[in-house]
Amino acid sequence: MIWWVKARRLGTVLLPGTVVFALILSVAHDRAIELPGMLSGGGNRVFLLQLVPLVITSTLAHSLAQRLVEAEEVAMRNVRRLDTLLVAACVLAAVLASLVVGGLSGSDEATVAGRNTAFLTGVMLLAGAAHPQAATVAPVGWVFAIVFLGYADFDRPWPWAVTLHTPASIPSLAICSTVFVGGLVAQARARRAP
Amino acid sequence: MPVELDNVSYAYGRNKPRIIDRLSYTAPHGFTVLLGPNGAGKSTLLKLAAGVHQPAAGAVRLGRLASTSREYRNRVAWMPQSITAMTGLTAREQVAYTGWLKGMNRADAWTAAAAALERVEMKDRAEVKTKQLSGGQLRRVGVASALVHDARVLLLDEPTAGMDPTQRRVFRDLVLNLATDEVQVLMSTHDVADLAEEADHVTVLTEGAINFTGATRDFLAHAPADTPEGRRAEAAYTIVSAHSALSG
Repeated sequence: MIWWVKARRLGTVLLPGTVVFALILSVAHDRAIELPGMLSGGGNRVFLLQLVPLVITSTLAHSLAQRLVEAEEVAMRNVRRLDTLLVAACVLAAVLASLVVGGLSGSDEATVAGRNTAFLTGVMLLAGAAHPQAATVAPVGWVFAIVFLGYADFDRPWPWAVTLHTPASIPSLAICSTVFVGGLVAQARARRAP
Repeated sequence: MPVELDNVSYAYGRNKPRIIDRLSYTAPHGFTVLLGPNGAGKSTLLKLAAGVHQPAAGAVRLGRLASTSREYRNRVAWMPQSITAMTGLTAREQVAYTGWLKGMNRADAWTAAAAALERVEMKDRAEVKTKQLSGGQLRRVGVASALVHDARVLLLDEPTAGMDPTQRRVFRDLVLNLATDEVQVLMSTHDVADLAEEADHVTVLTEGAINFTGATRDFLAHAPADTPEGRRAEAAYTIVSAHSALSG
């Protein structure tokens, strides 16, 4: 398994990416900037921690793309299962980190960073199953969409903008969990024949 | 046990034309060269035989083993046209990784990788990162990956593409040594002159259909009697292809 670990660049890309995620999480808390809203009259408050899940999704997308396709598609070992476990472990680490930091700091944004990471990872996996090159772009596209289009009014997000909702929002949690599980299923089943 | 394609059809997508349509083919024992123009379906046939693609209709088997079975995958090795150079892995690690993927344990895969690289004369480059290898060297890593787990069937897709004449000669000798009573080699190539005369069998594929398959001497018999030595395979291929075009 050591070669799979090296091939997926766990030590050189994914682990440092996860550490960077945790570091930003622990220092950024509720820091925000004002950006113009396109569907609302006023400005939008954009929290830095809305962007931080992209560190995890982009490093995961990079790791999963490091495949020896010609051997993995005809392998006897189930590499896709390993990849799925890798994604689940990485997102679990992000969720735990966000709950710990959020709990200690009292920051709602830090608390939902894990939930949002799960959602955006699901988006990344679903997009990657449809088209491998969409894996990196889709979560970035989502974040841009919610930054500029996600608010109906100042601080009042549209229902569909699930990553803008508070930690207490059960519908957001349900949607994020569903998208993440859907992404894992897509990851486990997708074939990428060379 | 030869690889057998039974009434196989395949298309790259639901609404795409079939690259291969109701093809039945049993790859002969020994070393078989698969010839055909670009787009004839050579790579698709090899991918079907490797289990990379599953046929839309028909079946691919090795004896009683279906191409979807684990045992089939254990006995068949495939080398594609394009070999991936994995970032961060040395040649030996990449070959060992392939062995591990084929079910070998770590120690066996590591040992077998060294032996496979030695067989393709890459022992001195074994610890070089694959990203730093030349195209020809990377192809030899691809061959070593196909050899690492002692497969019974080797499917090689254009393995000599991009090799210089010396490398091609070395590679030809290697393949001739690989094909034995126990190991079947099926290799696609454009390199008609270098390889077709050395093979045990020749198969010519045109537009997804077999228009010649048989012993090399029968194939070479298509060449005009006055064809110089060393040019007979090319002449035979030209005539077989032209005959196919006329009858088609």
